[in-house]
Amino acid sequence: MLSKTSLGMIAARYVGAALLGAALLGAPAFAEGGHDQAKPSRLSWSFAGFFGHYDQGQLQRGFKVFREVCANCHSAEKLAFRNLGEPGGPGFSEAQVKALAEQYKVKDGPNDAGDMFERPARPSDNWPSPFANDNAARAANGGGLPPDMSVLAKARSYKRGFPWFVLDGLPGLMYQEHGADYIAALLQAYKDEPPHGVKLDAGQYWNDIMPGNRIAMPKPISDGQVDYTDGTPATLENYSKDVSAFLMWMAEPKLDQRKKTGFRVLVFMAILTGLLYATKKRVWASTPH
Amino acid sequence: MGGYSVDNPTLNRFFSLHYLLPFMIAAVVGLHVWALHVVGQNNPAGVDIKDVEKDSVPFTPHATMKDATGIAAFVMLYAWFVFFIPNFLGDADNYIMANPLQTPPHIVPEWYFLPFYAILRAIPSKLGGVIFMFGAIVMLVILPWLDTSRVRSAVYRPIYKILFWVFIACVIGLGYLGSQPPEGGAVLAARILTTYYFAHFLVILPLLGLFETPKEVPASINDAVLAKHAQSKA
Ligand code: HEC
Repeated sequence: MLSKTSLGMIAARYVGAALLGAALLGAPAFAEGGHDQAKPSRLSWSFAGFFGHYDQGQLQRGFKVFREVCANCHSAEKLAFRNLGEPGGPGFSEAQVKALAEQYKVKDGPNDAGDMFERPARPSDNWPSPFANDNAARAANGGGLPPDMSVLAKARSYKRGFPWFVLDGLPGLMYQEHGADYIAALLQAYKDEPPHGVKLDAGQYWNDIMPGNRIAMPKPISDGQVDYTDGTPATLENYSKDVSAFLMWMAEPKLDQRKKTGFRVLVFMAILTGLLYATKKRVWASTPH
Repeated sequence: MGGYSVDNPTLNRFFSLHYLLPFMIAAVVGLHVWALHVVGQNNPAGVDIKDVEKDSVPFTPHATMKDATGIAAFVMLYAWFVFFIPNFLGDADNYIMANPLQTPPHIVPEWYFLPFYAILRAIPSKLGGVIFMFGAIVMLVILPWLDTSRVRSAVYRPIYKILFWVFIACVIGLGYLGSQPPEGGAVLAARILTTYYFAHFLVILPLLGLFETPKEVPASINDAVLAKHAQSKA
C-alpha cells in the first residue's frame, strides 16, 4: 500500500537507487530503516513468469489454511464453491465440491410463508461470510475490519521504487507477484514485543511488513496449526506461501488461461508482423526513401 | 455542479459529458480526414510536395503496408500488457472496494495524467494549479504561433533537435514526480520541471527560432531522399 512514506523512506529510496549495484547482488530490503515498513522478499511462485501456472497441490493446501484459519474472520464474497472445481484452480472433483458445500449453511428465502431460512450450501452458492455485516466483524476483532479476501492478493502490493518498477514489466525480468509476496511476508512478520519504547494500543499487534507496523489482526497462524496430508512440512513458512498462492488464485482464477492465450497471441502476432515487414520491404524496394 | 458540493448530481453530469466526448472525438477524426485531403500529409523533410510524380508514392500499398507493420508491432506490445502485466500501469488500491468516507492516503491518477498531476501539485495555489494544469495542454494548441523558425522539420534544426529530447525527458520526469508523494525534494523538483515545461513553449521556442542557424533545407522531398542515399552510399 502507499501509505507509509516518511522523509526517511524517500531518502532511503534515493540511497537505494544509488546503491543499485549492491541491490543487484540480492539485497531486496534496502529501504529498511528505523521502524519503517520492511520490504517483503521476492519468493519463487509457480504462477510467475511467462509460462506461469498455479500448482494444484499448493492451491489445495492453501485452501485448507484459508478454510480452517482465515475464513473464521475474513469473508470471500466473490468465491463460489463451484469455482473450486474449475480448471486452473485447486481442481476438486464435482462430488468433492458438492460435499464441501453441504458442510456450510447459507441463508435463503423468503419461502412461501415469507420467512428467511437456512439451508445447506450448493456448489452455485458463494462462500458464506463469517460475520453478518462489517459492524459485527469489527466488534469481534477489537475494532479492526478483516478485509474481504476475494481480490485481496491484488489489492495489496509494495513499492519497489525506481528503477525496479520499470524493470518489473520487462519480458524475462517480469515481476507481478507483489501481492502474494506481501501477504506471505505479512503472516511471518509478527513480533511478540514491539520495539523498545513503542506502546501499542489494545487490539494492536506489531508487524514489520504492515504499513505503519500496527495491525489489528492477531498473529493468525503458527507452526503446526493446520494438518497437511500430502507430506509438506506443516510450518508457518509453508502455510504463508500456500495460502498466499491460494489468495492469488482467488483474485485471478483465470491466470493460467490468460498466460496460455497470451503466448498464442504473441506467437501469432510475431509471425504476422514478420510477414507484414517482409511485404513492406518488397513494396518499398523500388522506391528510394 | 448540481448542488453546493460534489455529489451524485455532479457525477451524473460528468458521466453525460464523458459520454459526449467520444462523439466530439469522432467529429475531430472527420476534421482530420478532411485536413489530410486538403493540405496533405506531413513528411520528415518538412517540405511541401513540389511534384506529385517525383515527391510522393501512392498511399496503397506504400503507406498501408508500412502502417500495417507498425500496427502489428504495436499490437504485440499491447498484448504483452494485456496478457502478462495487466496490473503494471494500475494501482493495487483500485482493487479495494470504493468507500466515499475514506480517501486513500495517496491519490495517484492514471499514468497518462501523471505529468499534469505533477504540474497541478507544483503550483502552491489551488486555482493557479488548475490553470497551469490545463495551460499545459493549451500550449499545444498555440504551438503554431510560438514556433518562430522558418524551418518546419527538426531534422534541419540541430539545437531544437536536442531540446526536443530534453523536453521529453522533462515530461517523463514530471510523470515520475506525479506518482510520488509531494514531500521534500520531490516538490522542488516538480517546480523546476514545471517551470522548464512552460519555458520550453513560451521562451525557448520563440527565441530559438530567431537565434538558431538551421542546416540547409532541401528544395524538394525528392532531393532530400536522394541526398540521404548519396550519404549512406558514401
Ligand atoms: C482473528 C481474526 C483473523 C484471522 C483468523 C485472520 N485475519 Fe487477517 N485480518 C484480520 C483483521 C482484523 C484485519 C484488519 C487489520 C487492520 O486493518 O489493521 C486483517 C487483515 C488482513 C490482511 C490485510 C493487511 C493489510 O495490508 O491491510 C491480510 C493480508 C490478512 N488479514 C491475511 C490473513 C490470512 C492469510 C489469514 C489466514 C492465515 C488471516 N488473515 C486470518 C483478522 C483476522
